[in-house]
Amino acid sequence: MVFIQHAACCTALGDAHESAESLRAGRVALQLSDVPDLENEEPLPLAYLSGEASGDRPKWMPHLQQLAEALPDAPWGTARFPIYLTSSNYGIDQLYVFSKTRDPEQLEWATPHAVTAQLRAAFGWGPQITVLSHACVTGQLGLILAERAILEGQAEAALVFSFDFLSPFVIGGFNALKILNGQMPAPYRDGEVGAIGLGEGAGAIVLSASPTEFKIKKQALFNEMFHFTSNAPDGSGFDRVLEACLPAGERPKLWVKGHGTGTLEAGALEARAIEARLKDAPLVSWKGSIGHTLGSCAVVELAIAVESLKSGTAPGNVGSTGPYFTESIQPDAFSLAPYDGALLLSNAFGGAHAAMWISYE
Amino acid sequence: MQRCGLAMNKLYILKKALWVEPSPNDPEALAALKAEFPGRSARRMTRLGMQMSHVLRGMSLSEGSSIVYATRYSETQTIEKFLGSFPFPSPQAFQTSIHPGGVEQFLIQNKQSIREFFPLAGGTDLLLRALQTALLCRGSRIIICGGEETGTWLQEAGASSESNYAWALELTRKENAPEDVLGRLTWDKLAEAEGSCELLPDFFTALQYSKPYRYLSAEGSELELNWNE
Repeated sequence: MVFIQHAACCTALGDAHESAESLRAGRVALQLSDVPDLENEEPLPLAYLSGEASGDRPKWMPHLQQLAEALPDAPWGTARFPIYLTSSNYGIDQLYVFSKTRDPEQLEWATPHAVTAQLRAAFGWGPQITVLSHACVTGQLGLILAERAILEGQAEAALVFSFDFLSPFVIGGFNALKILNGQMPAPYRDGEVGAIGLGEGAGAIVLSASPTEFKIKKQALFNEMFHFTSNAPDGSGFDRVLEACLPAGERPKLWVKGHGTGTLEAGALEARAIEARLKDAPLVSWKGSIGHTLGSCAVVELAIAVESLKSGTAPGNVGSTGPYFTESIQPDAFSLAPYDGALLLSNAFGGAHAAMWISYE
Repeated sequence: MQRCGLAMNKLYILKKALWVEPSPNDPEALAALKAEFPGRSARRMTRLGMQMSHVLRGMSLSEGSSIVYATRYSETQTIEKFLGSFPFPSPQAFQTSIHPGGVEQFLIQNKQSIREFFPLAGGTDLLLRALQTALLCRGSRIIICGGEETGTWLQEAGASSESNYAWALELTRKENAPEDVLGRLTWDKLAEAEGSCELLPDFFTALQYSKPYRYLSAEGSELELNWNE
């Protein structure tokens, strides 16, 4: 068995503890903001972390520094303590600046391997770093590989370190696809217009075989490959990952932190698949407040879930009001006393689905 | 086989496929590659997507397979195009610039669902980390693949590949290996290795000519590629 030893994150609402508290209070971090680099008539829902670029470092490095300094002491990046680095953006903000300025210093942070080298130098990590990039399920891929490395005896402990920060590249891209628009996201709301919000976030999860109160029961993946940006209309992809994560015959008392970005089609398919398989499980999304932290959402939201478990109360479906797609949507913060586990879900382009079931005592 | 108290890691090669360009940005090679796809598809695909489709076509892919995809720069030409489209960003260029689009273009065209798909980025150690990831896969068959495409202004800045290529290997673990395997990959202590700039090009050349290959790092890490007679 593999257990969660350490879970930390930062979002526009603060660290994991502050984020969980603010979410329980129903606070929305997303704000409609102008994006100067886009010829766009409407402000967009974005949730930024604080910080300014200083010297030759991107503005987000202090946040990563803080996460790295809080890690349990271990020779990270060595054979028995591998790192899984997960992001869907890495240094794409620096690449964007390079495209405008041709300033060669930007290239020192502009690619995944360049950022990895910078993090190694800054944090004293060894070379055993697997750099993953699979859009918005990236964080969960890191968690799955970390768990397997421990289960197979390769690793004593494994670190999943994840970060995604906003730039005109990613904001412009989602805006061009029309799913990031002038509307605030309302996850699982059965409305006329779907919308997502984008948020900055970073997180660090340490897994090991040493028992803690948070146990990984199962993780699962399924990639539909039906279409680049939409799911199979029968919702089969959502059901397949649930089927793989929750074996038949087991009826755990779960609450569900869904992917729930605020898009209509995917939100409806996800909510209905969960209701069909886990009839009494409350379903929430937190992306209506902190925004979609993209490749880091699984790691960031796991850290918030762990904080929620520690406090005994989970945030509700923040930033969204009914009518909802299903009756299982839980609008307000709720007690976790009736439940013995949580199911955490993330999805990505290509119909990629990832699921993680954790139990707690 | 034991060495220095550590078990050697081993995977057997069932199939290999390569896309090799005779000379950098060879127009005839690109035309031949495009001709493999229906006109409408070819227009929408990236160069790397076509290259990856070429090599993946011959693999025994099923829903139960695992894919490990290793690319350092991914869809360079589409990234350049997307960056050039500001302040009116192109939705098509954004969509196809997203890692791991090179492999997804093949899977989506073929409506091939797959349970496990681990796309890696990374630097000089990319091949080593991809092999380590392959060992953690649970699929009945493991496809490890990779490729790059050249750029224009990103290439001039040293931020893209200098050549176009793609490769794929279908692998299995020892217990499932049939008699007629093509060869085997063996490695030890890769966690300590930094890799090198020559590692992937030399490995690709060894695949191309079915030659044995050995990488030995200063830290004592070891990777061997051997072929059956």
